[in-house]
Amino acid sequence: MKAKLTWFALFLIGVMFVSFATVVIGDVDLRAKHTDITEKARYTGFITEQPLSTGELSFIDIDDMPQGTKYVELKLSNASDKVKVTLFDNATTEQIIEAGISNGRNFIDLQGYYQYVQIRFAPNVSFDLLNLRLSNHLPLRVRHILGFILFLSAWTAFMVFAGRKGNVTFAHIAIFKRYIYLLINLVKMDFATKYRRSVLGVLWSVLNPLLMMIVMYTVFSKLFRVTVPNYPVFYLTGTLIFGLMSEATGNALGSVVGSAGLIKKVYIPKYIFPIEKCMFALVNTIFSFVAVLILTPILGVPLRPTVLLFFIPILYTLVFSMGLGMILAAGNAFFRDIGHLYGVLITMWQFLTPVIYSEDAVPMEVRAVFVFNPMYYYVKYFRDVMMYNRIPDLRQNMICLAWSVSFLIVGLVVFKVKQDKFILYI
Amino acid sequence: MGVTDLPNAIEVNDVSMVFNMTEDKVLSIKEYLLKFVQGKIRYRAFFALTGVTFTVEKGDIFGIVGLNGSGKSTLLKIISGIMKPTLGKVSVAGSIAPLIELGAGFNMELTARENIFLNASVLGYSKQYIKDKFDEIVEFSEMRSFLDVPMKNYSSGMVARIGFAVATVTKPSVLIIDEILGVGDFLFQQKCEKRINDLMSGGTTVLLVSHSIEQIRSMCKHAMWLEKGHMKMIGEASNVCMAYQGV
Repeated sequence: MKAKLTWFALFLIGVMFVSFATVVIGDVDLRAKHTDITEKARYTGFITEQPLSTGELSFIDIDDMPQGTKYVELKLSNASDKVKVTLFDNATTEQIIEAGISNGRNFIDLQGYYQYVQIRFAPNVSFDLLNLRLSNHLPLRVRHILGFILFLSAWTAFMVFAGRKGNVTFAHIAIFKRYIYLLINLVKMDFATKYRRSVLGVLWSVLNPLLMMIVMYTVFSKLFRVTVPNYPVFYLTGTLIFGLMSEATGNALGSVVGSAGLIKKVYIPKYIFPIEKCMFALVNTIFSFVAVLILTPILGVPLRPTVLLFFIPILYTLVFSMGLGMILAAGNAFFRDIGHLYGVLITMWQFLTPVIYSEDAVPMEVRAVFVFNPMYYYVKYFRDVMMYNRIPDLRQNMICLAWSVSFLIVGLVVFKVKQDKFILYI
Repeated sequence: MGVTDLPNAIEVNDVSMVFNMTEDKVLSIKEYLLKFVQGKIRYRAFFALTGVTFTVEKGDIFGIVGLNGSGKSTLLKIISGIMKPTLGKVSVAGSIAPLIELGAGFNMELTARENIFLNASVLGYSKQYIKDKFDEIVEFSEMRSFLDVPMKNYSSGMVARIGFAVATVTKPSVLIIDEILGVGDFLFQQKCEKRINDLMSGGTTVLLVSHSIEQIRSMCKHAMWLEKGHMKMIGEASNVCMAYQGV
């Protein structure tokens, strides 16, 4: 009965997550604002009277675009062919985007905010323009609902499969539940030993990032003249996420070897050890987050509602770190070199991630490297919600999720395959 | 493991344990690659156990004797799930309390109180269970006045008392004892023996490893003699002890 409840709860969480992903944080927003400027457009550009149509229509100017506009919606009918549209930024006369549109509703992604935009149409096609609207989000469309149903059925199928009696997944979770209390105790113990005999104790978790920030801020804004706006917050947010990853993986790396005493004496599922180190890093990060939360408004970046989403990038990073941590812990049991090498690698990794510098300061060719760096996405995500009042779209979420989940799966598999051999090498 | 409806408490089926001992320990990638390329990695297969098969009935007290290095501890570790055998299968009915090394996971920086909770969770007890049994553990170990002292200030006998008290607080289906009855002063030893006798009379199956032939003879019904990983003899405890003593 209890197990059934657990599964039902898990199922609900899945449904909630999927709805959240497809509707709220995705490119869809039920609360999307649309500004209809059809009427207005009739009196700008070349068209002065109804209907808004035909090949003579060659451009429409949109002045004072509402804040937050992301998409231009054009509804066409009677188009004889695909209509080529080009959007220009009127302020700089730079081309923004080129698109081919056809009958029905067309959404053109502006990929940025522009105040004045000119829409130019290719001259040789005739069509009727029924509607011209500006939106900050895409409306809910059939494909989103289909996607939602697809997700839902996949999740349901998984739950039904995993929940079958005697299934391995089920047994694993049952064993894990038995050891959750151990996990909590080990984290507590790590925490107690970390602050034993220090006067300030837990306060160090808040103080440490603070002091580090002051040093970095002085070096980078006074000595090197960094021009990133709100640099202290910029650095603080970046280092929080990167610090979580480096602490979690760095500690997980040595966790199996360090727990030799236990592994040789009692039976405990061995994945407890790297996971425990990651959870400990999470606890520390939460303290640091408190520091960041206090400092952010003081340093001149107001806290906006998007801050409430802070846990999403932290969760992504945590899951990623668990996967990587397990791979490292397993590797380190056989070759201790990994431990020595990793310190250097993590420093290198930090410089390859826009933590202390902004990605805009990097040449275009080098930015291509960021694509292969999951930390880049997590850091960016965290800054988006903490500093820039942006809710990352579905694409950004999917990239983060893909990195995290794939690393977790690889980590689990590597660890599972190798775990019986640990005891012979530690 | 964990199948409860087995007729026997412990079933060990053709278990072999092989340690691949490299001639010298290679623990770095560079060394490994160099030796691998040179074809110099040589494994010397060391059979710690070879084809061990036996069953222990429920409620039995089963002794294992053997000289040093005969594979007794390896066998116990395999039965308690710490190691996986290279070949063969082991099944144990119900829960195991391994008294192989007392106080596994004790952190000497922490106090006895914290360590009791930690050690109990290492053994897989639930939080509520430990809370309920906490007083019983403390009573048994007679360490109440030192409860909030860091364990690094304990003597080894005091550490062993706590370890024994935590490990035996449950009523396990199978109790595995490896040379631990020699802990503490003689009063505490008597107390330990009484606790073990209590457990045994309650239907717990006991697997006992000892160098004291007397102990095996007096406590066990059946026994096994291991020599260099092979089963030399198995049967009535008195017969096995006699043969073993004749070595």
